[in-house]
Order: sequence, then structure tokens, then C-alpha cells
Amino acid sequence: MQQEVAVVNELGLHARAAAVFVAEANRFRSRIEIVRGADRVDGKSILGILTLIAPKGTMLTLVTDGPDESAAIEALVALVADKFGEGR
Amino acid sequence: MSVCTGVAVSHGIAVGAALVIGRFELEVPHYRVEEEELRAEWRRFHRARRQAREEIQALRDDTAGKLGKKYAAIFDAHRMILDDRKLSRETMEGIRDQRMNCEWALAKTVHRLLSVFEKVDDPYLRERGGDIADVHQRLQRILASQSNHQAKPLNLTEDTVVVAHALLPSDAIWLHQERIVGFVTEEGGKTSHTAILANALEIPAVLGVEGIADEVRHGEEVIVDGFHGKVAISPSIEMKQEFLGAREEFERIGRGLDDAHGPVETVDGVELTIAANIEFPEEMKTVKRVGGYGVGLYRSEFLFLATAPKLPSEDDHYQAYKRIAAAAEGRRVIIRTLDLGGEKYFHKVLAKGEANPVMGLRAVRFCLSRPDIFRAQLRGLLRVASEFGNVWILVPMISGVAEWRRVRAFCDEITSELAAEGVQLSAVPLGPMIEVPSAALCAGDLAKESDFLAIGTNDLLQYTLAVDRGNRAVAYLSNPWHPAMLRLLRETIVAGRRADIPVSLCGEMASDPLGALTLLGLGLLSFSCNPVMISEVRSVLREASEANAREVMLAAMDLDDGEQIRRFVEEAFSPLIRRVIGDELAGRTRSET
Repeated sequence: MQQEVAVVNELGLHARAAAVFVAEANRFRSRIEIVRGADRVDGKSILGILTLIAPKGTMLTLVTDGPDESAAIEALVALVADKFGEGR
Repeated sequence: MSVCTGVAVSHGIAVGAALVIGRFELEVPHYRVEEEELRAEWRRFHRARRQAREEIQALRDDTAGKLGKKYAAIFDAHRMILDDRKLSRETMEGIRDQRMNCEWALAKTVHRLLSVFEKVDDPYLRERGGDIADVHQRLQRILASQSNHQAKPLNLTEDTVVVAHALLPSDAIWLHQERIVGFVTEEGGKTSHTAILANALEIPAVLGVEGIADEVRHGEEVIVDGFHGKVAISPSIEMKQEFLGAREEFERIGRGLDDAHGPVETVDGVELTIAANIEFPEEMKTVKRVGGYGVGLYRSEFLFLATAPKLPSEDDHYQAYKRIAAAAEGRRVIIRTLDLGGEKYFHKVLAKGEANPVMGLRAVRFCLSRPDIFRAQLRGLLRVASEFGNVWILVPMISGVAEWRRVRAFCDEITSELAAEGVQLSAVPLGPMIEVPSAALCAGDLAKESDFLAIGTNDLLQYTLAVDRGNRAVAYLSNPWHPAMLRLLRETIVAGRRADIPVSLCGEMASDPLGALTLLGLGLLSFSCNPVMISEVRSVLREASEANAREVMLAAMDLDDGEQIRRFVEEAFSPLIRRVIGDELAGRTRSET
């Protein structure tokens, strides 16, 4: 499965946001990848996400593949849209 | 193109690509791992990760308590970076496939990851790599503290000038390789460890250049002028030609001054020996080229630094000394036992927190307090000396007869020990270094129980005048022509003659034509200089008359003012020095004394 999502939080995909994303992604058994243009990284690897260097406004495509792929994509898209929980 | 200025500490002119090193990068050792060590290397990486995880957890808890959970979350990110499979996988591949040690493999992996950040224009986003770098530094620090591998040299493929904030004594092991042609540092002065190292390696060096590590970019062409203390960054073609022209001139003079291999005799037929001071067995190559009459001082400290944090074993000692003894081809080699302590070197085994280390537990005092360390060194030395017959053992910082007897007794004990083990032994000359004023004043008594004496002028001067010449505020007082210094030198030389034992002298005074002529006038026959200075000193001594030098010094010692004596000696000897080595070099030599 795949779905597009915009990075909307002020700081973009910085280390803390990436950590939150990875923690969430690791709750699922499916393979999770983040695609931006020609770059494709492992969504369960913080190093992969950090090296995407995605500031606010970046469009990302989340790709999930596995037994819980739909639950995973739903949770992760929500997390990015929710500014990685930073507002709370 | 720009030119910076610093302190010239080691002669010569070098051109090379800059290798800019921060403290941190320098601490990443590079070496090849053997097949059977691969597992151990991988375990080492895992252990370091475990410790890093504990540290990060502690930081997280601490931060959460003090600043709140939100701030502490950054350490969750750090823990994830640490545990990231990409990091461990690529590091492991480096170890396994390319046989890199884990520090090196890790650094490579991290640099690859961080390279994407360097391409980003926005400085704010570029900083994002900081968390990865932070975790990397933590791991490297942990690895460095638990490593007992010695660093092995980088594999350099072009002439390289090392540009650094500062260099540590333990860095010597890295820096000692052919493609490194010059040093430039922000810290350090004439008597710093780096200066000694640069001289030992015959590498031009300029130290104390403010801000140079930020000024120069990696790979940029740099010229180091170790005569004038200048560093040219990205020089123009004209400037480069000018520097290289000066270098050729120096090399021509350095090579062509005199016959390197014939006997050394003054014009009035007094035979002299000119030997070399060295720190590495590898320097024997240079010593042979410049024709040094063997080795007047081998400083064994670097052997200790090379094996740090482990102590060298008896076999480490044996192997190193054997190389020198063999390379000397029968010529005399004076090996000084461990002189750790004081301002030049430091090591973990030394007592920490001494209020006044220069007068503390160093050199022979340290050795007698650690018989295990002294024993390994003496055993290695005695074995090589018996095997080759050209090795003499010199013991530094002896302060009096009682101490000297303890050393002799300890040495006898080890000799019997070796004999009992069936090692073939021969009589090995043993002598005290005369570098403490009390030893110089008692030189007659020491001479009776010694096979030779070796004077060390650097420490003798410092202790006699109570002057640290590295301290700019008092350096002007550091005058080897002070009458007290000259009297101690004369007394020691005379004491050796009376006891009919050789007296050798090492130290800067012997590495300078004016100093060497002064010493000749005081009766010295055996000189030991820095290899680069051998040709100059030897060619001047060959043109000198011993009788005349004695007359000059006899008259000089009637004077009571050190400054006046210096001027008097300069006036008497400078025509000879100028005639032999030319105006430019003579001027340079004098201004640096």
C-alpha cells in the first residue's frame, strides 16, 4: 500500500520526530518505506529517515507491505499529519 | 593565497597537501584486522555499543528529571541511532569485508551517512547530522578508552602536511610515516613535544600558528618554511618557486659541506666523534646518510608511547634495540633508559597530580620505584648489548653516588638473573647521565664507579639556572654561557678525563656550531647532535683548532657575566663559522641559540 503525506510540523523530520516515527513503525510487522523523489529509505531505521533531510512542506510517500500494512499506513500517515505529536 | 606566521621549530621547507585534523578525528585509529581477530573486533564494537546505550539512558533520565520529558526525547533518538541496523550492518561489513578495525569501519559508515548533509545548502538543515555525529563521537571515545591496539599509519598516497590544533605525544606513532612531510599546529613552541618529534623525523615544522586549522581546507596545497616560521596556503607559482629555490640551496649546503664518512679531526690533529641523537629505530637510515658516528643518545621513550597503554615487554625492548644495534654496524650506540616524566612525555603509569613533575618522580627515580618496568627494559638492553657488543647503557637524572649504586646493584642483579638462565653475557658499559647539578658537582665520585659519563645540557641548564626556557617571561635567562653552566661542564669533562673514561655530550648545545666550539674549548671530544645538524657541526669542528678553542674558553671563563661571555665567544668563533658554513646559515644558527 502507499499514500502521500506532507510534512507539516515546523521543524520537519528532525531527530526527535524521526525517533517517534521509528518507534511507531516498529510496532508493525510490515515492511515500511518512505519515498521522496528518487530516495527510498527504511521507515524503521532512524538513520534512513534522518538522511532524507525533509524540512516542513516536503511531500513523502509512505509504502507499507505485509500482514498489517493497512493499519500501519493509517497510523503513520496520521502521525505525520499530527506533527509527530509535537503539539501535545 | 595567504601566508601565516608561527614559530619555526624544525628546519627545512616542505610542500604538500593539507591533512587537517581535529583532535577527535585524529583519535580514530586505522589498521588492518587479521582474519583470526575479526570476531574479537566485532565483539569490541558490541561492547562499546552496550556502554554507549547505558550512557545515553543515564543522560536521558538525568535530562528528564531536570528539564522534562520533552527535552529528554532527543536521547531516545540517540539510542535509536545507536541501535540502528544500518549502522551496525555497514560497520560489520567494513570489518569483515575490508578488514578495517571497528573504529575505522564505524567512522567510514558515519561519514557516508553524513555526506548527504554536506550537500544541503540550508545551514539549519545541515546541522541535522549533529545527532549522528554525537553518537559517533560517543562510540569512538568509548572504543579509544578500551582499545589496546596501537594506531597504525594512514595510507597516504601523496606528500602531506599535517595541520592540527595540537598534536599529542601518542600521535607520534601515526605521524611517523614517509608521506608526511611537514607539521603545522596552533599550539606548541620550541620545546614542545611536537617540536622534538619534528626534529627527530627531520620534518619541517611551524608551531603556534593561530587559527591555522580553520584557515586551511583539507587537501589544499601548503608550504611549510621551517627556517622562517612561515606557512603559505595555496601559494602562487612564483611563491612556490621561491620556497623551493631556498630548499634546494639548503639541501646543497647540507649535503656538500664535508665528507660524511671519513674520520673527524681538528686542524691540530685531535680526533673527535660526532654521533646522533635519535628517537626511532627508523632514524638509523638518516644517521647513516649524514654519517653520524653511531648514536650518542637513543631516547627510549617512544618505545613506551608506541605500546601504550600497555607497557613494552622485554621482547619489545629487545627487538627495538636490536634494530638500532644492527644498523649501527659496530659503531657505538648509547641507549638511555626510560626518561618519562617532566615536561616532554606523559604516560598512564606515571603518578598523577605531582605539583612539580620536573623535580618529581621521573626518569631513574620512576624506574627504581617500578622495578617491573625497569627490569624488562634492562633485560632487553643487556641481551642486545651482549649480542652486539656496541651498546652502552645510559641512565638519566642520576643525582648522586648513592642513587647510582642502587642502579648498579639492580643492574648486577639482572645480569646474574640472565646468567642463571643461561644467557651469554659480556661486560656492558653503564654510565650516568649528568644533567642534575648535584651530579655534575660530584662527577669525580660518579666517574670512579662508571664506565662513561654523558652530559645532557638541556636539563642541566634548566636545573642549574632554575629557568624553564619554554616560559617566555624567563626564557632570556636560559643562557648556556652562564659561568655556572660552563664551570659544571668543565668539571664534568675533567672528571671523566681523570678517571680515564669517555665523556659524551648530547643536548642542543652540541647541535649548534657555536655551542660545539665552546665545548671543544672545554675539552669535550665526543659530541652527539640532532641528525640534521651533524653536517654543519662536523664541518666546523674539522676546521677548528682544539688548542685555539681552549685558549678562547680559558679567557672566556675569566669573565663573570654570562651575556658578556656569550658575546666574547661569538666574536672569537664566528669568523670560523662564517667561513665554513656561509653567512646565511651562520646567522640563522646564531639567532636561534
